Amino acid sequence: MLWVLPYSIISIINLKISFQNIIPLPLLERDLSHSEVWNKSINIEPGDKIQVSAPSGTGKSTFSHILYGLRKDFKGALLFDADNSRSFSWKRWTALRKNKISIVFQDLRLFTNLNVLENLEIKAALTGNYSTDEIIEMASALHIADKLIQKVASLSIGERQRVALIRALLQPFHYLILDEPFSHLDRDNREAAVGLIKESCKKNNAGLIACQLHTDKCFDYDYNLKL
Amino acid sequence: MSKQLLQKVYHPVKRNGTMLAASAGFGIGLLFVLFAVQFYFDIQNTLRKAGGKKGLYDVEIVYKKVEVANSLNLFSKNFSAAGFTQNDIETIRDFKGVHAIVPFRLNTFNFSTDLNEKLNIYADLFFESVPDNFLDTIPDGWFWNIGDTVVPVMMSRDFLDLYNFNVTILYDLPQVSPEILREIPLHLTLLGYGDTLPLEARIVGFSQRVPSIIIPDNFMRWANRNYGRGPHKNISKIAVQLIDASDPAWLHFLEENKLETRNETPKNGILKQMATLVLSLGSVMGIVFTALSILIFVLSLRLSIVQSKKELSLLIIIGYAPPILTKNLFRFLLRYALGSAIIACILFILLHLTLVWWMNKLGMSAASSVHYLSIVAGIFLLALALIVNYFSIRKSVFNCYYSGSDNIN
Repeated sequence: MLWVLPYSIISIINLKISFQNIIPLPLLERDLSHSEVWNKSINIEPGDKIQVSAPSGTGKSTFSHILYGLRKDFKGALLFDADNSRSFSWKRWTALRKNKISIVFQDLRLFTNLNVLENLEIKAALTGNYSTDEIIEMASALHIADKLIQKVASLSIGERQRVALIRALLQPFHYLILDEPFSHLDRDNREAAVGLIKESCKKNNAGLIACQLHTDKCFDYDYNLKL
Repeated sequence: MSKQLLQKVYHPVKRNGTMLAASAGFGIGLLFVLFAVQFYFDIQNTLRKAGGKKGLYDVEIVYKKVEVANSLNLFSKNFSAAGFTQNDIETIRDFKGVHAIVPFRLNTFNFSTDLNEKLNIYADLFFESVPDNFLDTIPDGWFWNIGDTVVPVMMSRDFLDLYNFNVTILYDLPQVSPEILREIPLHLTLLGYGDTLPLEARIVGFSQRVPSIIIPDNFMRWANRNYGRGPHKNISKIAVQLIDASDPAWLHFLEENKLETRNETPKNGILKQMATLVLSLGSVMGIVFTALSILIFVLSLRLSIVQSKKELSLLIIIGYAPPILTKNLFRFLLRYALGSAIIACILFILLHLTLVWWMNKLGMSAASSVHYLSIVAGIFLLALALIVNYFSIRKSVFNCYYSGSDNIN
């Protein structure tokens, strides 16, 4: 009888996600027999750490966007706690994005007219879970504390990637979706980012879905999936 | 914090000068409507409270219509055929809207007149009088006290016009200007009970309203009392003070009772027409202004939302609910709309108080309180502007929600 519970109660119970024979419409004509994701049934249990690896153009971003509810052009069904995502209203998606699923987009999607601190505060203000001091601490951990009052438009891609990473961690979540999150980070910054993500996932008791070009061992993945 | 940050994201909205133009248009529209409604009710109220303010009444000279029936001494529904009776007068007095009624007083004294003894020009005349507050004009010198030997006389302007434009041509006589006529003394001798009283009459003015030769009412009463031969049987015409001579009910009453009036443009009719005109024009202009300003508000907000579409979509993607963004944008609009409404209200109150002061100065009684329908009209327009814009913003924000998705079924 989960469906009768209000979102605030649902949010303390970790999400289960099921992919049921999903095929993105643009990939309908392709041979997907080797894919471990498309047109397969996958159950992602609470706390699972999954690595989804694939070369460019095989649908990593499509996969993360479908999970985040940005794309609906697919066959099959995406279930959250057995509820088909196609029936979700804007309220349900907003609640999911605010409290249960966080994402780092490959194209980062930052507010270029705001400075770094404002980009982070606008996300933190949604749930009020993080103070400015905590935000500054996270920025320090990723070596961008000196860039806080700098406009995002003036940052390098690597710096922007770290801002997008911190922003994704400034909310409660059950799953963190990372779409090529370290593509522009050097080794030191990658290690710092991995440390921050691990700490945040532990704090939220959350799972992680990392879409990468190549497999890596940054996190203790429960399993790898090839697209 | 988040409200300020959100508004920083919609930075283009803040810089949009069209919002100021829309606010000004909205304020002007609101002011027009408020003032038009208030002005209408001010005039209505003034007309209602017109009692005791003679200047605000229409005055009509009422006659019995001369018809064959009158000549044959037949009787109409309520009126005797030969002049007004006391009953006739009471019937008219009872008509709603009639404030006062007086019969024209005719001379009952005998008198002789001559314009100039040397020229041997004589004239047989009659005099009439009504109280001064029924006259359309009170010329200089229009007074008489017991013992005065000069009696002021007022003539119908029509008489002079008839002479100047008809008689002079027919009989080859010189025209006479009002100034010259005022200078010609008229020898007047009152006759009665073996007594005579020589007096001098002087024309002091001309009346557009009264088709007669008028002398001051107090002189008439004095002369009738001292030299008269008792009251006249018939009252041929009466003067009526009423609130609105253009009232259709009054016109119907006249028609029904076979009465006629001397045509004079009813001033209260003009006031009412003016009030209605101001209400109509003001309301139409106000509504046009308000409608246009609502449209400009809607368009400029939509334009701003389109300009900030990328940012709004991103806010929705990172977890902001569309209603929160709608509220935030609406709050932004509210500042402009309420600001202009407050300025419009202040200007309206100042204009209203100025109008009241001006009307009171003119002797019209006007209340300084604001009519509740003005307030209702103002609240209605403000609510309409806010509701229309709220739903427009909401629709635009939800468009951002849907377009924020990469692909929609």
